[in-house]
Amino acid sequence: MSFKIIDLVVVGDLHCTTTQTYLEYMHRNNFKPKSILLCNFLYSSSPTKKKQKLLYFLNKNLYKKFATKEPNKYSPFVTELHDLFQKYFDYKIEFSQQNYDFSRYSENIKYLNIWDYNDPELQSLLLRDISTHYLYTNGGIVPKTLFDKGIKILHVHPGIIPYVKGSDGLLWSLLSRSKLGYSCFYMNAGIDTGSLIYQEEFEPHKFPEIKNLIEHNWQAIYIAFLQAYDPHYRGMVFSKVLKNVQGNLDALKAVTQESKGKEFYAMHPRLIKKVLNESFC
Amino acid sequence: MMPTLNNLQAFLQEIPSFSLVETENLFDTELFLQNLKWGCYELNEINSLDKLCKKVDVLKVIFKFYSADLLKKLSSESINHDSYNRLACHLIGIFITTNDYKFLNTLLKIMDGVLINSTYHMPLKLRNLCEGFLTDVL
Repeated sequence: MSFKIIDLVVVGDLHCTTTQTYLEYMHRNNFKPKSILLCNFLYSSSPTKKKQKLLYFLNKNLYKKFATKEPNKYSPFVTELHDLFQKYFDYKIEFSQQNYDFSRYSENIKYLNIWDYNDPELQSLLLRDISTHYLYTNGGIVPKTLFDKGIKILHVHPGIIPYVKGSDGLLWSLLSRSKLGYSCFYMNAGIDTGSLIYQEEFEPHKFPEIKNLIEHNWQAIYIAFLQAYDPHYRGMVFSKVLKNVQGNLDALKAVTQESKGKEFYAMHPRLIKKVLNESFC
Repeated sequence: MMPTLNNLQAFLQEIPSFSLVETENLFDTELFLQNLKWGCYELNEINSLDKLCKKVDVLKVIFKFYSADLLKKLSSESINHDSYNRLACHLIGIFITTNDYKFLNTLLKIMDGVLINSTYHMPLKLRNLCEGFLTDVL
């Protein structure tokens, strides 16, 4: 199989299913990013092992150098939910696989221990090549200073912008527009306010198997949707963007968003249960 | 649902009002909430309520005074309990007008007690009325 190497650097999260899914979709569509920065984002978890805990409190810089994080371990219930939520997609991804092999996705992979996007080590790597495109997959807020320096970061947000911006986009899209919506845009310092490249809406699939589980297991179900359902749409949408320009990201056309629209915040559990029941059952 | 809504309106009317003076270039949150008419919301009022929702959702507190565009806080004092009660009633009123669940999302968070720097506790009567409405809608 021949792959087209694209002028793209994926800023991946070593432990994030979204990163894996983006890369898998690119791979299946015969694209390879020129490199992957595979980050162990340290902001998202505190050390668990005794030695690392001690190091963390004594010397943050040293801790960063030697930090390790156990791969995600999913319970059999969550693994079953992952399988269920992937049943309608062309590719099923093994999120439970330990020590996932990323080497087939790119010839150039760099592993990093990074606090977050404010980490000078990550920033200097990103700023070393501002002519390229980066793909955001996870890692928290990207500081304004990076955008001020002209960095181009692509993002696929689970909502039709400008109507669904902010947190819990997948759920708010379903509640306010009865569809799943995804938008690919250039990030800027605002919340989902960057220039729009492509967007598409999808009908949600039905999973009657979860109907009786929602009341008491809504949290596990909701997280499993975010881990194993939502990333497929991001992967699909991003692959379409790549295919539309045959992998030549310099040919992307983006339009400035209108200033109208809505910003949503974290959804309350009672509304989450309503959405899960009405949209997926 | 109608008896619940009528009772909510009655509850809202019973909240004591005080004479507050409007000040130019200043958003007086308590005055704004006191002057709102149940179920008759102007576009600018909906926008202001939307911004107040953001204060609850993100900052978990609403202050007494803001700049006119509600971007900058001009006091560090939280609005009083009656104003939070008024807001709760209007969040239902505005949901009925707009069918926008983000207003109910904020109401649910207020009911959960997310507010900080406040001893606010939703009175049993109002909580019961809100629950009655939410049970019908959710």
